[in-house]
Amino acid sequence: MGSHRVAALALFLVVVPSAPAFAEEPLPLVRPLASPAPFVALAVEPVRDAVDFVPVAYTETIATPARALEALRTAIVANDFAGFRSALTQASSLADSMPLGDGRNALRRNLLIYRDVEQLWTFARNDRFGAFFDDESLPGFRDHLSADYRGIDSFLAANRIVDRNGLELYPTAETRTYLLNLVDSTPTREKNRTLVASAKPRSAKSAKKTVHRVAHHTAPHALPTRAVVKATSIAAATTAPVVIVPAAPVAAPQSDAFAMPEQVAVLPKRTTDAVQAAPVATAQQSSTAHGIFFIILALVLLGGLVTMLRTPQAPTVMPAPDELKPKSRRDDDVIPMKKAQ
Amino acid sequence: MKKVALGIMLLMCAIAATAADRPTAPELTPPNSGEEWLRLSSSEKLFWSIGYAQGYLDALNKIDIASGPNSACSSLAARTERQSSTAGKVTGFELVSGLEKFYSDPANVQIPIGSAIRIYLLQASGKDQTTIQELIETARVLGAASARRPTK
Repeated sequence: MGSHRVAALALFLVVVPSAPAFAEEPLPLVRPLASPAPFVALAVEPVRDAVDFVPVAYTETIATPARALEALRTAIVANDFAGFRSALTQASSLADSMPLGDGRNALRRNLLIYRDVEQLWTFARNDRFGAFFDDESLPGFRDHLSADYRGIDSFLAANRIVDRNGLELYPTAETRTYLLNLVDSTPTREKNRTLVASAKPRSAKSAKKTVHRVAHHTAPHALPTRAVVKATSIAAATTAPVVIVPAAPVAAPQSDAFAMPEQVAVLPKRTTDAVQAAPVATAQQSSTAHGIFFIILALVLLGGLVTMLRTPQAPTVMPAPDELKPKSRRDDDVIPMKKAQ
Repeated sequence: MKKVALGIMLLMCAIAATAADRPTAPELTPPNSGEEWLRLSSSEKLFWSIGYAQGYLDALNKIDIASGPNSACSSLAARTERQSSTAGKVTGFELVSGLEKFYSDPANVQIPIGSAIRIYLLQASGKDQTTIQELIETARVLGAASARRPTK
């Protein structure tokens, strides 16, 4: 019993001081509006002749699908539009020259997504209202996205802006990030499929477990959002390039080379999208999850403590052998005594 | 002893339930530079731009009222500040698009957002590219110096 009390005291000392940590949340950060940031003085403006800016194209030759995807992604991270278009052209040529097979199909699927990204990027660069697009500014593009990417409808509906005239506008930056996330996840899925296909044939149950395990260990990392991408260097982004593991050679070429990726579209929406769409709602969900976690933790601790502190019952005394006699026998014994009295 | 332990556990459960029910305070801060601007969603950028234009116009109107019609403050406001006001010149959609293009260059992310708006307005009004580029270079230097300065 003494050890139980010591254990209970230790648990009390550990748990109770930690309770205020989640009971009180810090107040939100308040920033003064009067920022000491300097402004540009426009009073002195020298007049010079205009100078043409020469865009830098992607000069390196792209020889492999992995290199093509890496070049495209690097150009996006560096915001190098000319390099992106150059890399996209080279990657398209590479896909045309590749032999038929899964590797070629995967690359072509990715390039189809990258072409949509290019269209959005071009619009964002050239249009006066390029931050948002609608059916008038990009005719047919909204329907094209709906038809080719399953699940993008809900994403666009969650992020749309409706003006006073009822015109629906969709954010270019978020849509571009959504498409880039689809590109990034495709090689991993191909890799998973390759790993599962190369395994020995087993029962359906064990095969399902293998798929789950492989998918868990090679879960695609979310592509950093645009804001995060800007804050990081290009070198940091290129340290983890996307590597395509080519699938095992198949006997017959698949005919869905130009079909839009159904597997990609089936993917659930990434959490980055949710964060971009509604950061406050995500924070509330996180808080609720923390609360539920703490409640479960408290209940577990309660159960453990009650189990530990439960007072043991009085030891059961084994009856004497003579007490184990059947009642009828004891009654029989009494009867003669009464008879004797 | 059992009653004490049970009381402690009930207290903990009550604290945990209170913490779970408490709504999270939303944290939205107005952007000061491109880094903070790029963290916002497009909707937030749009709403901030509309509010910025409205607030800027209100401030100018207050200057006119408070300083008098012919004061130095009023003439300064009319000469420089009104030129850099976005109200009545660009819509919120256009301002967001312009700032997106401006901050898409990673070298510009440290430029304060007020300077970026002024530069964008000059660009939209057709100022020559060399002047714009020189202003951008100056703003980059000032923005980098501001970023190195410790915040109070």
